[in-house]
Amino acid sequence: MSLDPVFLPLRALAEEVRTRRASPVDLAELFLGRLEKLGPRYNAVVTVTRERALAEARRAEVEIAAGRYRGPLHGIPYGAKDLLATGGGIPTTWGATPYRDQRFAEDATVIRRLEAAGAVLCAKLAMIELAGGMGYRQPKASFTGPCTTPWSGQAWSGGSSSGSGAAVSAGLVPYAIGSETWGSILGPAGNCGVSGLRPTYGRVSRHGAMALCWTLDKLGPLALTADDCGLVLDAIAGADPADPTTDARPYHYEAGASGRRFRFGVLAGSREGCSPDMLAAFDQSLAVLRELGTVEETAMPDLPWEAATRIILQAEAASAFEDLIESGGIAGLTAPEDHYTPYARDAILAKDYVKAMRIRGVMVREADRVLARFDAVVAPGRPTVAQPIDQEFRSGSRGTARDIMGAVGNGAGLPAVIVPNGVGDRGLPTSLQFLGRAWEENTVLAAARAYQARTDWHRRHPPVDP
Amino acid sequence: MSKDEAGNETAAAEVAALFAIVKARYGARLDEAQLDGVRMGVEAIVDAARLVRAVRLANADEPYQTFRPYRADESA
Repeated sequence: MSLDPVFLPLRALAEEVRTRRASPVDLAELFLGRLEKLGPRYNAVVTVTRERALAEARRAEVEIAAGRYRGPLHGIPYGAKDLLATGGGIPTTWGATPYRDQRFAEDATVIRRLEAAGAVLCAKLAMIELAGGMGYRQPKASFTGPCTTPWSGQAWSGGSSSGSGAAVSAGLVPYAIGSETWGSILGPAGNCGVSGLRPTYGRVSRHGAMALCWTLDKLGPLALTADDCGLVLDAIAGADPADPTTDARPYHYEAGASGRRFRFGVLAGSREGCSPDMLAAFDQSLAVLRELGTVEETAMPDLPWEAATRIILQAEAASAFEDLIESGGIAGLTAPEDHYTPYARDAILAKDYVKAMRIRGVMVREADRVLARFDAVVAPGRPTVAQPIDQEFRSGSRGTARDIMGAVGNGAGLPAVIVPNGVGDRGLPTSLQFLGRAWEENTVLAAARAYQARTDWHRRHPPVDP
Repeated sequence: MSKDEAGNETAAAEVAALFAIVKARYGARLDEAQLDGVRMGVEAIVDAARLVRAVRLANADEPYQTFRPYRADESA
């Protein structure tokens, strides 16, 4: 191999594989070794899928040698958040003690699509128990322990796709799949200094993924660059009869150099609650974005974006885990607050849930009306850099912090990309998010690529190797 | 009593009533500290519900979730 594959963006790594300068089996061995050796350092890994990975890698090697190259993920290792079902006896734990021996007969649709693209599954990655749906408020809410950002052993990776963020950041896998109900892709990507894409709701099949909230759950990639995220989305997107919420419109990632001018908006209230280091990094990013196009302030109409989205999330999560909650099984979860917080959700009245869903119809129209004027609305990716590992945090999904971007983006099911944009307090990564109209993944990815073409934050990596 | 005070009183009564339901269902398995946590959760839910209830909608504003009747011989 002519280039070091660790921290090599997907397009370059794929070219090494396509031209047979890199062997899929050697790549699998390399990343499996890193997962086994370094994964425990960050509590990033639940299961290393060594046997499956080597079988998939050997198949890829044979196919590529025979001239049957499938595309840019062929022979490339990846990891999957441990809420995606995997057959073959590989556990799917949902990050939670009551499910740590759970096994499924078949792969989730996303895993099957990646297999069809020739990808090599190397690990099931750590996550916050039940994707954080029980109301956790500290980083230790996982039976695999608190996952740390590779930038500091004392700071949280973010959640709930904790291991997906940490593993990409530490070069344990070239990319990973995560999920987001409210903040679970953007949070870990931001805390770990990598790129992440939350697709439009319905773009990617949820079949075989743990259901937390049927009308909010999305699956998407975390990777080194926005371009990498687009390549992965291309492989996993599309209609699936097994998930009736998937949309029929086809998706093809368009990565051509555009040189286009962008129209960026900044949402009123999106700076609220952000720390000074995040705001400073955001201001520096705005200067870069002004070189790429126009930036203007805008605002969403006065609607209870956060309250409505929170009611929907909490009511659906309480129903999805009704058996566990009613039986008292939540006492077996790791976070003490998860032992009792879900009981309060019996106080959500059906009429209020339906009202929230009716308001959602207004939300999607109003969000689209505002976003139609822009290619992307931009904001600080997170309110702060990664929190200390032993500290409680506030969140929009629990109602203890403002998160208008998260509420609009998830409540209206809109795509967003997050990329690193600087260094903040304690030497930890800061981040920038791009929010777009429904089905405009290519537009927000193009904007994020243009930003990354003018900056090098995505090429900085934590000091992982001795 | 001002409108705000009346609203706060109504909210407090609603929190008390809903918390009583939750406590009746699950109280036996919770200690006092956990019950305090549940009460705070109920308060947050009532706060969110009041914001949602304050939005005026038209009769035609349907829930943004489509229901479709099902036939096995027409499913994909």
